[in-house]
Amino acid sequence: MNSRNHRWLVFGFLAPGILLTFVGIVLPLLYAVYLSLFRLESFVGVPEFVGLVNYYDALTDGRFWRATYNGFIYSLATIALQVVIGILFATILNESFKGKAFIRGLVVLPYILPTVVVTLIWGWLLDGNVGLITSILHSLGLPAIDWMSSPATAMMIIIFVSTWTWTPFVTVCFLAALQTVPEDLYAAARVDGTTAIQRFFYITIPVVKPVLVVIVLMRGIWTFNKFDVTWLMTKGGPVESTEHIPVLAYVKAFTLFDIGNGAAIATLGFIMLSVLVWLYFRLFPTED
Amino acid sequence: MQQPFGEEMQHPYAIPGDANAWPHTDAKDELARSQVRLMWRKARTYLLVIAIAIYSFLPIYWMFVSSIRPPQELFGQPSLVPKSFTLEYFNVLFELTNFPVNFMNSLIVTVLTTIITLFCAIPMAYVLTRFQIKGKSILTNIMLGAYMFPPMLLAIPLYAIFVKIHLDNTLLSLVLAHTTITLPLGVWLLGGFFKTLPFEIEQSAMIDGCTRFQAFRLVVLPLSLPGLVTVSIFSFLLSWTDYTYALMLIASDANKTIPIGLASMLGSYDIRWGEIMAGSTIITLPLLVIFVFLSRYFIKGLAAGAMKG
Amino acid sequence: MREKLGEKLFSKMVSKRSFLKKAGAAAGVVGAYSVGAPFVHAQKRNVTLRFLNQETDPGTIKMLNQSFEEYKSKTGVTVIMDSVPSTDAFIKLSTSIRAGQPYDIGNLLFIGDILLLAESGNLVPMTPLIDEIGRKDFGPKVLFPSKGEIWDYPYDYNFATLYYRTDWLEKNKIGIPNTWDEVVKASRSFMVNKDGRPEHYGAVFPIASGGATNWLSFAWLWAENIKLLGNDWSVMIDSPETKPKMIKFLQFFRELYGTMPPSVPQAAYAEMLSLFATEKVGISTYSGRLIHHLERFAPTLADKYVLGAYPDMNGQNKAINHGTDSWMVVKTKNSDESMKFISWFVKEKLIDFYSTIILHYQPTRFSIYEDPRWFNHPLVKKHSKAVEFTKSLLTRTDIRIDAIDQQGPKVDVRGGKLFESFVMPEMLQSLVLRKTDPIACVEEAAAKMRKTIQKDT
Repeated sequence: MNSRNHRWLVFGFLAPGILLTFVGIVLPLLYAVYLSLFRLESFVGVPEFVGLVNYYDALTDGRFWRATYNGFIYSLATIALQVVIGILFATILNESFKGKAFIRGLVVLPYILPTVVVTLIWGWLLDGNVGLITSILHSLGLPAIDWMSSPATAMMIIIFVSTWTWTPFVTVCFLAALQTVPEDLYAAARVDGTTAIQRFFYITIPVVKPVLVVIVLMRGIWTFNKFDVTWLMTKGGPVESTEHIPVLAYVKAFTLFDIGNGAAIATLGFIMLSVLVWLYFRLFPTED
Repeated sequence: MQQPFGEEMQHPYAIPGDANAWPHTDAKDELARSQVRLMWRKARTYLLVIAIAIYSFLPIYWMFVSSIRPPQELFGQPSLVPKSFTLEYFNVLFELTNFPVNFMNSLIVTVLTTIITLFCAIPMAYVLTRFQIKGKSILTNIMLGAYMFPPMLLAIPLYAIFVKIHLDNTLLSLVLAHTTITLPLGVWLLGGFFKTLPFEIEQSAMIDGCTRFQAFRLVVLPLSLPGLVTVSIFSFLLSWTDYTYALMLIASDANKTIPIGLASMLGSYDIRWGEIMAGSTIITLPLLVIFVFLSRYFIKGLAAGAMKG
Repeated sequence: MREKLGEKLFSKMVSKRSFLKKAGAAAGVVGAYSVGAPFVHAQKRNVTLRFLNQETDPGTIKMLNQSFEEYKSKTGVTVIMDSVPSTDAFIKLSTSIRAGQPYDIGNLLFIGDILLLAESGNLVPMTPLIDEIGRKDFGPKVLFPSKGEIWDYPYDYNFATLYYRTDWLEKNKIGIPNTWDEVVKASRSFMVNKDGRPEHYGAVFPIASGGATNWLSFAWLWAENIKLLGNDWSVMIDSPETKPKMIKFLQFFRELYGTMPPSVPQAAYAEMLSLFATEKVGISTYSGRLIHHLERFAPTLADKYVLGAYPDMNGQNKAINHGTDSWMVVKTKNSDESMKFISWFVKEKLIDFYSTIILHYQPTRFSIYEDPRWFNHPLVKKHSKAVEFTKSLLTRTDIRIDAIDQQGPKVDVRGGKLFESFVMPEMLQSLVLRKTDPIACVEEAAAKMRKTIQKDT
């Protein structure tokens, strides 16, 4: 397997990707970390080396910890909902019914929408004056809810919109896993007099568990760092209640004239995430 | 549904409806009851399926419908089906913004990104799954790093790099930047896919006289079609919708892509929902078209990748 | 083995670079299929100026592109424009300078940003052009000298004024409000229910963390002669003289909020226009753009509004929130050509530029107001009362002009930080969304301000 020919093959196959990764990811990453060691107001300023002061400032700033907290809430809630709803939908869609392929196509649609479109659609639906949801509430005799006004509901909305758009990924993965389970297993269980809930926990769940592990990891990384949805819907408000790490890093670097601090926050977020990923692989080792 | 008792159990003295009748009458009732239960189950399934379909599709439908509704209807009492149609929002978009140019730019960048992603990811995923490479996990972890950093902080040094190699403000620089995001995902997905193909396939091809490379090209690749389609769709998606890199790397109006075009339309101050929904529809349309044709592959590839990845 | 690999990679990189260059040129051609997008580095013979523009109005962009074509046919100099929303303008400009590929001409709205660039040596002074025109021709508070030079050409004022529905005022027999209580009263009188649901609300003012709130919601404070920062950059809002006024202001705003429609927490620029035009509110605030919006979307209302300045508590003073936009020449190898272009544009094309949104781009020079091409514009004539009012702001002394980013003894980055930290909008959010007591709101805001400003002083 390691003969001459193979070495060239291997090398040739890896080179473009490695090059791109180095230039496109490693270098910028190193530069961003480098920036975090300086005090810099703007990119035209003269950077002043301050070592780890930016990190110290970030770690002693309540706003950083609140952002971390918000990030965890956002990630955990979104992942949990995605998983629960995803499994539920997959289970339902696993049944046989007419138009199965068509419905499955429909269900995946939210996932392929660009984030900006998703936030615009939901902004439109939830608009307090002319949105569809508001009109529905009116016709039910309920007052218009100001979704973005209170910190709690704003976070809820962001979690909901994120869930709506990313759950299809989970649904599809679980569906695939479920389809590996032979139908007779369910039929036999039914005959044995099990309830739907029992069947769910004793047959469905064990099958999807390995997929679940991978998904939680992937979605976790993705969500923790997801900048767009929050930024486009609330910019971290109201009163920083939906502000999480990527938003805070952006705000510090690009609106508060503190690039070094922003870079430090981003790096800290990166470190936090890496630690969590490492821990995760410890708990759930995969063959990789 | 099986009958618990067969025909041979009919009692000669059984009278239908008699309370003391032989068990086989209960069998008929049992059959009827279980058929009713089956109907209920089917009904429940259909109901749930419809609910899921509405939950997933109604917002998208609403976007379409809002983009062709005249203003009085748009801000008036909502209805599922519009009473009249108008193309005025689309007209405004085409008249007042650079949409056609932005569209072409987006198309060029996205198609090139997809091609280059496949070009880099396929060999990489193949080698990483078929060979033992030192530092394999380091490489994959670094690639994951692209997702763990706020894109803005990566975009700025990337811009400086492109300036140094005289590629700033070109569509190519955007293609390369997008590929850094699509590549890790592509390698991961394809890796998962290749793992589902046992090595015996190439072995038998090589026994038949192929070189390793030929085995790869003629046997492995065709079998990975669903995986390739999935990676292509993902790359298309990520590239088509990127905002941050396009913002920082493109410095002239004529080279802008759709997300940037849409954003500056939003920045202009008297924006209205009709135009916004029309713009959103335009952005979404190509994605939907592609998806309609390739959904089966997409779903298969996604699932396979997730299962083994 | 690893070193060898590394070596191979780097040598590959060198040859890849020339490949990239060729591919880059090819891509440049690909990217240049449309008019007006030459691949910058392919042009060595002609001069190409790169213009960062933050006026994203389509009419303005069209006009600018036409001017570039005209200039090119006259002088052979090409101008390539990059239009970005104003929030992204400074990032792009500063990044371009840092990356070594600076824009030649910039367009910013915060004086603090402009002075930052000037003080770091990245701008070419505009003083010759300004002096050629004559400093006396410029209105108040637009020229900000630093180190003896003027670094930008300010081309418009964006004064935020109040708009009232005149017919609603008449219907309720109320005059234009002069005190905070009268504002609340007028706003309340506008509220009308129909079939048990609100049909009209009173007023709309933004509270979300953004430029709109900073620009539109705080002129009440300037009317009361409140200064957020003292002459030594100390925070003043919780000082013994100012704190009671701040508390009164918050109490007033809380009342006013009760007359506003839902979705105010997300409202920004667009809602100020649309809510007034769709008759949802009778009091709104904006610069002249609102008039254009009415003309376009609600022409029946085009004669049913009146402009006013923000009153103070007791009817003694009024104020307006300040805003201005400028062009600057960046120090590049093309600076001379850039300066020539700007001079040409300012002398020949300025009024055409203004005409794209004539009532919004309020001229900064007295001579423009006297220019027939300006004052004979149909919209200027039609809305002469509004124009008179906004023009008078340049000379009258009974209406104060101030802004959040101009607090402190001089204009610099600290004012910008105060602006971008959104402490003031957050104070309003705390007040009406979290229902915090006004005293606590002021104290919270003061603490936040200190943290933001203190990092430097």
